[in-house]
Amino acid sequence: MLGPTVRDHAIVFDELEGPEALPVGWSDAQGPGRYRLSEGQDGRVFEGYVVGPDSLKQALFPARDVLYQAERRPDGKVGFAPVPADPPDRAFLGVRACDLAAAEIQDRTFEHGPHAEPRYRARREGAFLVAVNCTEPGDLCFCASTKTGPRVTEGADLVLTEREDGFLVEAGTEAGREVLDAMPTEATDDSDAEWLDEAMAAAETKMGREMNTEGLPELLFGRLDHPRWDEVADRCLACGNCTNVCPTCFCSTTEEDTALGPDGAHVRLWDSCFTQGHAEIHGGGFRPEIRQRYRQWLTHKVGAWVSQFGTSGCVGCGRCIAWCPVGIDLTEEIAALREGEGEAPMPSPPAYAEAEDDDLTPRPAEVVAVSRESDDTVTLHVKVDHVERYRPGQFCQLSLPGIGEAPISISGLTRLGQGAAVEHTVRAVGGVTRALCALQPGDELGLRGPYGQPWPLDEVAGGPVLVVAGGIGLAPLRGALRAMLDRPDRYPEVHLFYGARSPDDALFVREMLGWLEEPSFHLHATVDHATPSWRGHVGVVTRLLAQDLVPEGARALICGPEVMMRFTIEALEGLGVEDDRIWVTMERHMKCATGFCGRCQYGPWFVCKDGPVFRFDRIRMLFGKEGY
Amino acid sequence: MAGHPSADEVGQLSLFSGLSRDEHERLAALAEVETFEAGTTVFDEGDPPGDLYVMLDGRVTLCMRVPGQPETCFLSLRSGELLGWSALLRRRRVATARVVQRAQLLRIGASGLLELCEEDHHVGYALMRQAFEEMADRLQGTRLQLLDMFGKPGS
Repeated sequence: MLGPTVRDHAIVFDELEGPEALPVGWSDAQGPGRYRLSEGQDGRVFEGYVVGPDSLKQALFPARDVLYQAERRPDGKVGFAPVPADPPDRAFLGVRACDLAAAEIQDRTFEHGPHAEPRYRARREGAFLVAVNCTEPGDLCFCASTKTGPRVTEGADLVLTEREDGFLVEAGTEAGREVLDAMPTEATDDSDAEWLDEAMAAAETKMGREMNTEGLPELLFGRLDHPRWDEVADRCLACGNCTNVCPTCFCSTTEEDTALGPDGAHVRLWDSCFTQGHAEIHGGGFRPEIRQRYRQWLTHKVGAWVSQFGTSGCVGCGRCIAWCPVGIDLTEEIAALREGEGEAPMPSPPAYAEAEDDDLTPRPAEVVAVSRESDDTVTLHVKVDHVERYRPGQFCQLSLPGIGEAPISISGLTRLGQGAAVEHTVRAVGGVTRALCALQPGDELGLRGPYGQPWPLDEVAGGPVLVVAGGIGLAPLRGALRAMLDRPDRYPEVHLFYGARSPDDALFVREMLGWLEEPSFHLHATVDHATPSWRGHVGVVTRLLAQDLVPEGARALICGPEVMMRFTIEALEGLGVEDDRIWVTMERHMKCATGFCGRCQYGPWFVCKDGPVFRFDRIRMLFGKEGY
Repeated sequence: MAGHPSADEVGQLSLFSGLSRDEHERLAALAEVETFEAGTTVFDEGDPPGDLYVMLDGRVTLCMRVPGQPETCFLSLRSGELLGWSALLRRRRVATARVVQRAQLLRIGASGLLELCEEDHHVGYALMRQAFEEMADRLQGTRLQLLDMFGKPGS
């Protein structure tokens, strides 16, 4: 049994040895950047204090979780053994309404997307929850504003309400009823029910804080340039305390925990959007400034969360205010941001097919062939079963034990006698990709996936299709091009506009020359620079998009560096191609690929599960915006 | 093939859009159509100020010498585009114009053209405006090339 107990000058959630471990008589005093305990005189068990730094999150989604053990043998074969949660059944005593609400919100992250996290689910299912109604909310509480308390309405097995003569107990579930039946109790009557109603109504008026939640997503995303962001950034230390104590924050990172050999554990650790690395990809980061990180956190917590999960991510517990070393109070920040102009329309939560369990463990897969594409780029042909599951535009997570994992787009599919291979074109830019590029036929790697939304090949059928690719951006489009060129009846006119750095850097040249045999295919290629022996175009790829080459009714698929996509879209718009006829594929830091780790947040979307392919009108509001 | 273009041919070029038939005729009188074979150069980097060209067809690539390295080509021009804009400012040639596909060019005598612009500011403005538009696009493209978008991130 876990419950509130005093440790390190705070009331934390910990293993309870017995009733004497409960903080009887203790009370807390909380303010911005302030948390103090005092040992009082009365014998109250729960009502002298409200929430401390811990919540159910520590127990259901621990700060450190080993996901799998990996080994790489000298013969190039690999092995992965998932580490399940295997939790004991646990009872949690003294859970507040806000924390139950928070757990319900985390359920949406870990169980109700396209993927479900089995470790979280097992811990959640094994939890017996004894909740407490708060009759004495604290100075930082505002659950009445977020409609997540102070009364427990659902999600608990038993609900206690403390009063002078003992506890009122309600059973919320069948399991709760069984426990209650086994205990010595006295029946309640109408007067008890009336007392409870009155006590809870009174509690609502005792909230130390309030926050108007009306229309927050639209308002925040309409005010991304509000001067308040700069003011709060002057105080924020980007320490991440708020995200650690927040009962709904779910961002995580992973590490390879290795000894000196090739084996190791793949470990998940809490992460925070306040860290430098959170939004970093190789060669750069999307949120270098603290201002951008605080804005990311708040616009996500009480804004984009609604678009992603159908609920705000704030339960009004006030922890982020108490544990902020400089006392930043989000209720104050929200009130200040309300003073201003601007609202942005926000999308509704996407509907996902029923969640499939994903324990995030790769499976060993053999590299059957390696094609060298350029100096630093190779295509790995990886043997798979069920090749029909892999679609152009999606990506897989490729990994090597002890080295790490990287999201790599699918660049094509090949038949291999009885089986098939999925192709991944990898450019050696970091540790993982360098190791992947060094693989030889016969070696194995770890494969997870496919993940994400594919190119909309059905939607673009029937009319002319413009494919605009830059650099290695041709790789995610190659599968789509092959599929379209195979079916000239459905795709009568396919134009590829391809920009490479130099002729030597151009990908898939031999294959492209083969495509030229297809009457439906039209190639327009250019390079950024060349030597005089090059007879093709020189200049940026956007220069190729001229009026006479963009047929009426065309739809466009674009992949390349974001700046190239921005100017391509501008050029297409100038030629009359509307936002809802343009699809782009986005790159953000994807760690888990399943929507659990929060790293690839992109305003109201996750790049991993809602993208990486997006119809452009859906992301226009943020596209190119600094800090996103 | 050489000879003066017709006023209609001149009028079709975006550089001279917005001008009247009469003005197109005056411009046509200053212009000649010239053909360049692949492998030749139209002018060389460092040449003294010369005439202005407009691409009619084919492909011409602009290249610069980089000591110690191969010559680098950074822009190819296509039909309708200006070649040798430095003529409008009476500057030396800044790049070598290499013909990579047999090209037809409209050559416009620089001194006659600049005299016309001085004499008739309406023509001068229209022409400079169009040239500026094209230079702006070219500048934007050059900036994107400068970003080395397809280069290795972080290197």
